[in-house]
Amino acid sequence: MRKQLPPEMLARDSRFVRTSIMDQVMDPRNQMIGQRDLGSARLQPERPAAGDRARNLMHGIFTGEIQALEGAGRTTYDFDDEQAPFALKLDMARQCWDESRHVEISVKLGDWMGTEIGEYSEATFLYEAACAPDPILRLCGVNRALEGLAIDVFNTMKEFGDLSGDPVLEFCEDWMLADEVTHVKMGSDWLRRLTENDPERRERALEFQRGVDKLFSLGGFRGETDENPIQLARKLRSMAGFSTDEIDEISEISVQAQAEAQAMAGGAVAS
Amino acid sequence: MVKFDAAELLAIAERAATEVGVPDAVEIDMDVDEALPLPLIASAVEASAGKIDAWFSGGCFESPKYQAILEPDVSKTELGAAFLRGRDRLDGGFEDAPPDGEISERQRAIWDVYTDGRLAQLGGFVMNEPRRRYTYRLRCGFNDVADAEYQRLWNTSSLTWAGLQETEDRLVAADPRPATKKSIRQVSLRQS
Repeated sequence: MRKQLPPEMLARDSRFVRTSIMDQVMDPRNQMIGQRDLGSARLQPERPAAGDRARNLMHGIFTGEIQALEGAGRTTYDFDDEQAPFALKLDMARQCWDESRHVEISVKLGDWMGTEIGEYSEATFLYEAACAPDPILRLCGVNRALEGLAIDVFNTMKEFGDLSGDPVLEFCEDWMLADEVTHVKMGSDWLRRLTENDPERRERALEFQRGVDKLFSLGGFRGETDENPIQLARKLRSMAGFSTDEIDEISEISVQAQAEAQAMAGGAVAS
Repeated sequence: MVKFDAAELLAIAERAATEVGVPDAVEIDMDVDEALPLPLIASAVEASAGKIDAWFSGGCFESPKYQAILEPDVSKTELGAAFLRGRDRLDGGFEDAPPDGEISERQRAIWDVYTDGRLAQLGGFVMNEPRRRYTYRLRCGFNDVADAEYQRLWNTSSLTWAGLQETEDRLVAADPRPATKKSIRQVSLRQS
């Protein structure tokens, strides 16, 4: 079986349409919306088009869970025991079990919300964070950055379910949130253990994570202002092992990502 | 900003208007805000003196799989729904309903169920009933009373504005959620 599977070889049936995340981030309409007085961009039940925005996000969660499963799955196979200890692979296998369950839950939530599998396009930027040849980079890309984003997204959806009185959505998101906190902790623990005597490798891994966190901010999709649909979940990230400094850095990265996306989109509109 | 073919959209609109029974004598004026992408789906309809004015966000017609590309089947349903509500306003029992910008989210959700139910009965319109049910529940509540009213609204072929208000009263009485501040949906998405 092949090792280091590239994203273009991910198994998908005809329901799934692949798209580039940069097309979505750089959509010139984003900047036009930003110039209008549409109020808060937060995903809240009383906001305009809340139902369809939630459905769209739910489908994104669904495809994200598939990619997280694929990412963790690859890590159980792509490395020998010298590169990645058996105990690490066991943790990744346990994570695959969790992500499989999340995929099933996401499908059921899609049914609940009236969203079909493949209704929206899929961008593979999440899996691409798991394509690093160094298992430490994968842990940072998947378990800290991707799962960290999942904490932010699930917390937003949980609050959406709570505010809207949707008992199914709130319960399911809370259930999956608990797993994501564990996944982040696994990544943090293994990062510390495998780089205990190699601070340069640790710093390279954290630098990789910063790049992934910036990409996962999706040009302002995640942040701590009213312009960000998904809010940074500080309390839950803290529970997952992120330090205050790390969370502050992610917040700052999000601001930078939003500013850069707006500047690039503005140039695209002008041309 | 979008790759919609105006002639294709117009042809879909004409088919939708015919199939929901808009008389030929009624003039329809359409305004599409291309800057509002999926999933910002929103529409507003006003009607008077034999004319229907319909406003749509571009997201109403956009493919969820292919960015900025027209999705014909969903477009026909969105157009049909808007024109049906236009007919409601002209002579379908909603002549005394306030403008779309002044009705509440709950009232609009009730009207949308009534509208989609009629489109489903007519046939020829792609319908995502679970989506309609979910967006209705967001506005009207996740409880047995709301679900029962949903079924009644979906299956009825006759409703008036007064009847809609009575429905809303029953839904409010059964809704345990705290009252939210006034929705700014149409005011927010639609540029004056």
